[in-house]
Amino acid sequence: MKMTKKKNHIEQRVALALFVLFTVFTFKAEAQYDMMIYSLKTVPQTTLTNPALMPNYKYHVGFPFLSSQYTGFGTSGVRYSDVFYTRADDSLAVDIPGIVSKLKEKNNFNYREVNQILNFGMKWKDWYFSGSVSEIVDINMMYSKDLIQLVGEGNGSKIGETFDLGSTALKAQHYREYALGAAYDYDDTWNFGLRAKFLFGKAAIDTKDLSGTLTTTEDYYYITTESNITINTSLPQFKKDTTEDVTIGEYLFTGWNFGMGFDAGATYKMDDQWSFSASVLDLGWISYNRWLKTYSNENVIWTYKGIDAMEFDGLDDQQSEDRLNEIKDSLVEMFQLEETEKSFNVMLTAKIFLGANYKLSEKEDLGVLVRTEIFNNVWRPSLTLSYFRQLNKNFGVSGSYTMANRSYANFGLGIVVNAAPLQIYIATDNVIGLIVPDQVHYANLHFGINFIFPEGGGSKTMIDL
Amino acid sequence: MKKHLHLSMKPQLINRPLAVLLVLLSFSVMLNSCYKERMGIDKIAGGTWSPDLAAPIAYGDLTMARMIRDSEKTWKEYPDGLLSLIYEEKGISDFADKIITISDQKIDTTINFALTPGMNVGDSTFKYFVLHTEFKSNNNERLDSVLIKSGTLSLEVTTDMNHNGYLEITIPSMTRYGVTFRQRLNFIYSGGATTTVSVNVPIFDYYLTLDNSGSNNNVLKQYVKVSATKSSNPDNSPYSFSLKQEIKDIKYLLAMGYFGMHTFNIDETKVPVDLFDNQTAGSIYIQDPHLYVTLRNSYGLPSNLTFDQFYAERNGVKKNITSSLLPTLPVNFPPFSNIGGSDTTIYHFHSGNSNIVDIIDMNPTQLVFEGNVKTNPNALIVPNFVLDTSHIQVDILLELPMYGRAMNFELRDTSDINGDNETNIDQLKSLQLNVNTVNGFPVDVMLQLYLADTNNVIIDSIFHDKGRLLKSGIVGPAPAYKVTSKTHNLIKIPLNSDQLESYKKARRLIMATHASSYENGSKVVKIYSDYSVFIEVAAKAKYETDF
Repeated sequence: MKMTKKKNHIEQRVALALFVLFTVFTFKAEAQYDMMIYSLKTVPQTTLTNPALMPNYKYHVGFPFLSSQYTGFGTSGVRYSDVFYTRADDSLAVDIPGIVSKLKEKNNFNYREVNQILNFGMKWKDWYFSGSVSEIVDINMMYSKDLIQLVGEGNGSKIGETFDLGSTALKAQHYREYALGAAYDYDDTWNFGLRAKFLFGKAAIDTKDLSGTLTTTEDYYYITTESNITINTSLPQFKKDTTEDVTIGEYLFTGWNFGMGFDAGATYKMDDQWSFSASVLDLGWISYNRWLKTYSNENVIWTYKGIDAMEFDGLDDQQSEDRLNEIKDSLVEMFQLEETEKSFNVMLTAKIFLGANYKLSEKEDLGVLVRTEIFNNVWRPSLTLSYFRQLNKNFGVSGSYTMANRSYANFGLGIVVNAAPLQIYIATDNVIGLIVPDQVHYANLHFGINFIFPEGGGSKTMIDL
Repeated sequence: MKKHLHLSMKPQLINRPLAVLLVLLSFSVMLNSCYKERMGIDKIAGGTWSPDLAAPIAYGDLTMARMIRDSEKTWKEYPDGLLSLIYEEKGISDFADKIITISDQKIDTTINFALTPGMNVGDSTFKYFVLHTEFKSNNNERLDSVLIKSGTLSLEVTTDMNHNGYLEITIPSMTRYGVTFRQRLNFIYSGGATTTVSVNVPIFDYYLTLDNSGSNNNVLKQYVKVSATKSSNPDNSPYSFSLKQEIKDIKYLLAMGYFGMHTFNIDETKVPVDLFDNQTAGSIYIQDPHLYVTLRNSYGLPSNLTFDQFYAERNGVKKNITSSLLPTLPVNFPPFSNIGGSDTTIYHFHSGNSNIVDIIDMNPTQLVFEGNVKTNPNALIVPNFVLDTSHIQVDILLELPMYGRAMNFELRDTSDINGDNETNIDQLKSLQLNVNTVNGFPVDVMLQLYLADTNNVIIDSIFHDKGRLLKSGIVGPAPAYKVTSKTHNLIKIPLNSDQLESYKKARRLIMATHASSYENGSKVVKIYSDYSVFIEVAAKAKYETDF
């Protein structure tokens, strides 16, 4: 009885927490990343979301180049279908007013592609060691509605007001990740895990600072810009005519731009039903020191009041044309961007996962997962509710509901087929996104093939929290 | 369906849920195909970009000083900065060498000469003769002296003397650089009844003095020396010497004497007054205009100028300039101490002695004058001198002080537009020009722009009413009437699509500006050199282009 009361109390608190989370995420759910894989407990790649998760395998080996293929995009701004309208001739035309009308003040777009080349893991006593090699493209962009409105509708759409371009940022990287992880089964309730990543950057664009405003005054239309810009780039030139240029082969296999990252996580098994998990991923950086270009200015305030007609006084046609060209050049230089070459660091986009699971039965599991990533000093949370069912020995399926990118109709599906030693899995957070990607804010697909070797000959393949 | 699934699926791995999944997958693939057909990238065909763009175009602080510097007009600035517009034109008479000329002179005389009796062969003898001849003049001029610029003195002597000898002419009153003119003609007897010898002597830079002390005028005194050397031929004395002398084509640098009465013209001369050229309506009232007639005379003789016509004209309407000073203006002349110089006589026509205010009130586009000059008009015989370059120059100077008022003074100017068909404003859907001014001039300026075809038929106008481009600055009290504070004005000129269409069709732009001085032209104002107007133009345009 006492136990039941305590259980009810905990369930109430959990329900309250879920309500609060739901409320929060209804207003601000802007990120996406591979939420469904978390609920596919039999897949070793689940450890990507929490290094403390421990596969219940003697060891596993990923199918080379096919162990984990992930592609996903998310947009809190416009969807593909918002960008176009259909003309009478059935062609698609860019709908600029429609785009602007659908944007919020701050919007983000992200794209991530992870191609795992190698993946392996093995159990040793209370430890599970794992390693992987992955090719990762990670693009995070944040842009303000003002920026799009300025480009699409012109500064005349906000006379007397200020376009705030300050929430614009871009962090795009292509890097290779060599990861070594270890999960430790501390006791019956706690697991801890740590993963170290050795990173080699191949290309990057990182806007350390991209703040600015543009104001057009009433009546006189004076244009004032304020800008603080620091854009770091490391972009190889794929040519052969100078020593700085590289071939595709050199680009893919040469290790430059070293960096390190860490993932850390823990799981807590409260009782037979409830378990909780928490992890922090991608705490780290990459130092870029090749193919460098930095464009920067510092607090440049510039006001354009038109051309001083008196400067043309007494000039002949040729002199006037020359003067006009000088003015054009000065307009181009108004941001006073300085181009330098200096090494820079790009922080990885850190992510925090908080999860709770309720085991309905040996074959069923309910889960809630909160994921937050921090980009450009903005927290971007997402929330997933999932249900997993092991349909039979070989076949597990999971369904999910996710709030992300201001989108609240994302229903995911995950399927895992275990025919040991072969394991095939496929997961998406938004099934609709695979069917009609133009209609969604968020879509991804995670697919992989592993060779698994369960302890005890495969009787239990669930990852044990 | 159910049966079909059972038949088609392997029972071990593909159970009922999976069958449902496969059905859903098939359905998804079908929907995905529909999506590609509906939203495929290959169907993207650009779009339309139609931003509102707003930007300042140009600005300028136009100062009066700069306007004066760049102006093709002539300005005068008083110490207090008050400005005047100056219109000036010159009329020049013919030079004196065309008015007062020295005619060709012919002097024929015969001299008899005899050898001294008893001369032996080889002996020589000579005799001097004095000739007094009178220079003839065209207009009874009295020539006291002439500095000859060019001319020719021709001598031809024919003699029946049968000996060798010579004839030498000396003119003591004709010198060059202090050397007396002397010319010898030698005779070499070579048989025959007569011997003729001739010579043409260019004369220049000679200073010739004629004697006017006696009863005859312009008397030239010459000495003729005849010399002979006895030969073996018989002495047939007396011998005859026929002397033909001609002084012709005489041009002078300077002539002194009394040249009598001559009349010569100052040809018709026009003084353009372009201030009023493009005026189509209204008036400018200049408070205190001045007209100066300046006569610069380098003739060393009394003369006067009479205007045959002297009037102002606008659109074919003429109005004579009248004054108590007119019609004849005496002309001062330089004294003998200022030969080569000129003397200046200035006649000032103003509101007190002429109708110049009325003349300017008609806003003339030109002044016209034509006259004649009469020398020694009173026939008083006083010493005269002329240089070959002596002339009389008539300067007409009209000064319009920028002191007065303007009432609805309209200027129209027409310029061609779209002539080269290169103007591309198709992508412009609407345009608004904002003209911001800070006016330090005491003038209100209204503007209207008309769009017209090649026949100047107006298609459209830009403003529904006239646009007030400039608002007058606030004018202070007399006597300075100076602007004490500038006035700000902002005019917005919206051009809708209809007007832009009209612009495309138009071939001419007619700009009509109406200007009135402070308080609708009811108050007089003055324009100073430190006045300025700040103008800036900004534009907001709706632009549309397909991409």
